[in-house]
Amino acid sequence: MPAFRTALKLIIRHWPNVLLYVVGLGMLGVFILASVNLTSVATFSQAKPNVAVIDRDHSALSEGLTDYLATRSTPVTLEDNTQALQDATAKNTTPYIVIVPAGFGEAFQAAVAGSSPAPVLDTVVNYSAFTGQYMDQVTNAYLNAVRMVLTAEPDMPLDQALSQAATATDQQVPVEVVEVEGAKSIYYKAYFFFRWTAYPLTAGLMVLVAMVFSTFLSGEVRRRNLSSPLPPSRMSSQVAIACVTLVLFAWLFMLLLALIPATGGLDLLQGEPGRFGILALAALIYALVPLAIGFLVAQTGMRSAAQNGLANIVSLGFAFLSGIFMDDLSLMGDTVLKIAHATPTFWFSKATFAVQEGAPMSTFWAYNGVVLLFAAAIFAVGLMVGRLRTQTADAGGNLAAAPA
Amino acid sequence: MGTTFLTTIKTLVRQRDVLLWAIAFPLVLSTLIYAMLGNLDEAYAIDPVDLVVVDDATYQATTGLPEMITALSVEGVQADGTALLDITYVDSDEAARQTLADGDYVGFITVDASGEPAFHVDARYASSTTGTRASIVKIVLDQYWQTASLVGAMGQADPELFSDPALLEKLATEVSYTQRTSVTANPVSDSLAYMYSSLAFSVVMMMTFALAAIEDIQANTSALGARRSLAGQSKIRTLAPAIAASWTVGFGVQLIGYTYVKFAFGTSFGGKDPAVLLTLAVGVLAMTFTGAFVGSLPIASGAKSGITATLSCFLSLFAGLYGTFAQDLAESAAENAPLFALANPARQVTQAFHALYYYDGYQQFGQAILALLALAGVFFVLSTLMLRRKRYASL
Amino acid sequence: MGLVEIHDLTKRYKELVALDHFNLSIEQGEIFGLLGPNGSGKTTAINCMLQLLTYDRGTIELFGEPMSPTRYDLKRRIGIVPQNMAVFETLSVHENIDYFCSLYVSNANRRKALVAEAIDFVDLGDYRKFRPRKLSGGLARRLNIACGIAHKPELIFFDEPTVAVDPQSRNAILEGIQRLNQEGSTVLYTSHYMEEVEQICTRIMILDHGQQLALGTNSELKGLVDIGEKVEIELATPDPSVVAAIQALQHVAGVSLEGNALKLTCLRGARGVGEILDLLHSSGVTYGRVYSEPPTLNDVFLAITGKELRD
Repeated sequence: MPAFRTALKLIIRHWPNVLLYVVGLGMLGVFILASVNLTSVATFSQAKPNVAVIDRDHSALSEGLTDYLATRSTPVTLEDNTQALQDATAKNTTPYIVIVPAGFGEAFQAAVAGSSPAPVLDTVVNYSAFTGQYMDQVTNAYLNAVRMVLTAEPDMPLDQALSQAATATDQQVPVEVVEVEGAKSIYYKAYFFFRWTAYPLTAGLMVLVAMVFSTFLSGEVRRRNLSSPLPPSRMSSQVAIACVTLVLFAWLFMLLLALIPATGGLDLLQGEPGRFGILALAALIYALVPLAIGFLVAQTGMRSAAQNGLANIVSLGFAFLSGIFMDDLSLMGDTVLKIAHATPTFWFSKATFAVQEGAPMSTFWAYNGVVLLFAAAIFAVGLMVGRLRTQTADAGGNLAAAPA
Repeated sequence: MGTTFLTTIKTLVRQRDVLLWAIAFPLVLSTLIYAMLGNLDEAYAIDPVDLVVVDDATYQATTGLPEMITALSVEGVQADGTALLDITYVDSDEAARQTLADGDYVGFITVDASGEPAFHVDARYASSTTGTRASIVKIVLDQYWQTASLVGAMGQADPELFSDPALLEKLATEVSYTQRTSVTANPVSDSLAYMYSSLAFSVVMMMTFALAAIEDIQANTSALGARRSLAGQSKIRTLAPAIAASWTVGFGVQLIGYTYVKFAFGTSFGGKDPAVLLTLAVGVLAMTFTGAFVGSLPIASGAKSGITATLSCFLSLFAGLYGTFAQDLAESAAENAPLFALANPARQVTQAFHALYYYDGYQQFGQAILALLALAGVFFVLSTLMLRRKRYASL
Repeated sequence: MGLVEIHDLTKRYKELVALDHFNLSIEQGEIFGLLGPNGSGKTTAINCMLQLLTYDRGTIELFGEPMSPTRYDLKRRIGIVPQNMAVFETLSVHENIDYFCSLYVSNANRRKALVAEAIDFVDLGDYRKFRPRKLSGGLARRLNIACGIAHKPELIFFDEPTVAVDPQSRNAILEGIQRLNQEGSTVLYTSHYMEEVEQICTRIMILDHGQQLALGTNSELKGLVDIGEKVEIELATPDPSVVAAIQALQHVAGVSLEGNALKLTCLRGARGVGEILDLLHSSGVTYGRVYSEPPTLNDVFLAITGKELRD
């Protein structure tokens, strides 16, 4: 199997590409996951975002509010100047800032008594709108409790009212954590990582497969090969087998990475080996797509630098469109979603979500079927392009028309 | 020198694959990012929380809970308000658990015999990182229960309380004491971070040009380079215009990208265009010298474009390009490894844009620009060392 | 029946006729030279013989059998050395030769011996681990040759193997081809360098515009033109009057005076430069150096086509 051996040698000689794309981009995914802390929880822990209170009032009410908020959040101390506030917001260190204007306490009591409209606090919210809504609820819960106490007992001393409100708002409803069959977000990270592998697999396999095929198909080496007693189809299939070997190695490497504790794959393997197995299978099936694309790219005859550029564009573009960088496909707009349906990576992503959300196996196989169809179609286009180019060359293309 | 400058520009723009790489890729990327994450702000804002409610006798018997839930839900919300919850009603505990298993709900609510509500949260949403949605539901329930208990306690202390409907009305009318304000020069936007990091990504890619230009000058990287090394010119006269040409092409490409992002997607830079252009100029300068350094290394050309690609991806990861996870990663990396963050041009470019948008003053902007200039300085020195006229052990 | 038999081969690229009713017959054991300027159809002929190109009419038989793209049994007995480097840039000398040999010889042991022989043959023993990029032009050409002959083919196509090669390597290559021939290979050698073709080829075909112009051994071809020798004499002082006198001589075909150089062509025959010198001597014309050379294939080409072989 001469072409097979040589093709493998070529791949090994291009180890920098293997290192950069397969290993490098794969490790990128590991880094990302290593920074996220998702632990399995049996108890419900209420969100405690960073909150800062800028108290310009210094009244009993504002201090009571500050104390209460401290029990429901992680208190942050900020200086009361524009710089500090902008810093906190721009750097996203304090997603919720409450600014209590001077005179708030008095205005509040006056409003309760009915003689003036209710005063408002300024709140500064950063990115996550949920944090803002959540903390708004918390703040209003306390203030309304105070309001109610004072409405019912207008003559009650303020500090007594505040403590009664604090006691009331200390109460919480009981919470039960329901483990739902089939919904395993505990292995959230593992699913993310398997989706992520589409990115290094696409980039790395595209570049290497295109390189190998174009080396065998280019110029004078091709002429030597065609003049030899090894039929072209056998040669191509030997090269293809070498590429499949590469695919297997790349896939195994991804599985290896998946077993690094940070990616959560080990947990999934131990907890649900079946799911781990079919996820791995989905990744292997997907890997056939960049194999086909690399083959197609080689047939077009583009140069190595262009091949690299294309591999990066395609892999990153497909990765974004398939939503593998996010955890929620619903955040994509409708048009984008439609375009995404035309990319093979999207269907791979859907297959992993199907496993994640416990969809029936038939759905899983259906999605994988689409991925296979993509691979087959791209491969067929590659064959066609190759045939066209050969015919053109035979009919007087550059090689044959060279000065004789 | 002028000839070298113009010739270098010509050779750079005529290399189709270099152009594809350096122009098309960032444009495609920003379009993708915009399409994917551009409407993030709206997406986050108006998504009601999916919740299941066990609508049985005890639920109906509570005072005010069904009304409150309805008022907050999609069905019952006022025309000008935003719905907090999207409720699905079932009639039993078992039905609720089944619904939870079949769909994507935060959890379900039941009410016990004493009228106290309980929140059954789906394990998926139970941690505080993913559980903000669940926390909202809980706080709503807490508030109801606290109010109900409070009113109940007040009623016990003073039964006369409930005979006054006007008073009850006042008690029941909830007041909102919060309003949104902004302390930054421009309103907060989540999606902007991604547009900025996609621009930063394309700035890093600009090293491609210097890389290509230098390869053609060095004797040990190409035959053309060998020929040029023999020219009767000092090395400076060959290098300086080549570097200048690479920077010019790179900056030109960035202008295209910036215009595209600004006008096609309406990305705001806080209205400080000259400062943005300065950021791009300095960023491209830093990457030009980086590219010159990489280009002078005696390794295969294919490996170099691989290096450019992975470096851009890697650095942009730490500038928060790839999504919410990447944003968190970028922030924690900045905290734990500040030197790395300073040395990351993608991050510094993003920081510069960030600073222009959010701050009134230019202090943070200046810091980012200085970091970029420092990076440019370091690679200037490194490339000068590599590009000195020298003899080689082998070509 | 020759080893190579081509009849009426015609190949057109749209309007351009690359091969025009081309015929070729090569006997076993020959070193057959195909000589022609750039664009005459040499490489096209080889590509057609190897079935890399489709052709519009004609038949090609190799080893007495009709040739087609799938006659792998025939391809096994052929070796090619293309004009340009046809090797893998990322493989070493040894790896390249081993790969191409493996396409013909599957037995690993036999192949190992053949590869070692080939490396010795082209004298690349010191460079077996080198990559093509690191080899000088001449050495790289030798690698190119080794890849084509390692499997000891019976029929070898050499397509302009000495372009841009230093004289030492060139001689080594030509000697090597002769050795291969002595060891039993039949060679088709194309070139536009007539000196090489004259040096090693047993039979030569001159072609231009895809058509055969002349065919025969070196001496047969030179017999086609009526030139005995070409003479150039350096006169001490230019003397135009002597030109007419020399022109009058019967065996002189043409004479011209360029500066101090008297250039003339003698027809074939017993009389030659000696007569000229006697004439000059008797006319009192002093002369310095005298150059004389027999006719070359270039002269043959010139006589047939009216233009130079090498443009």
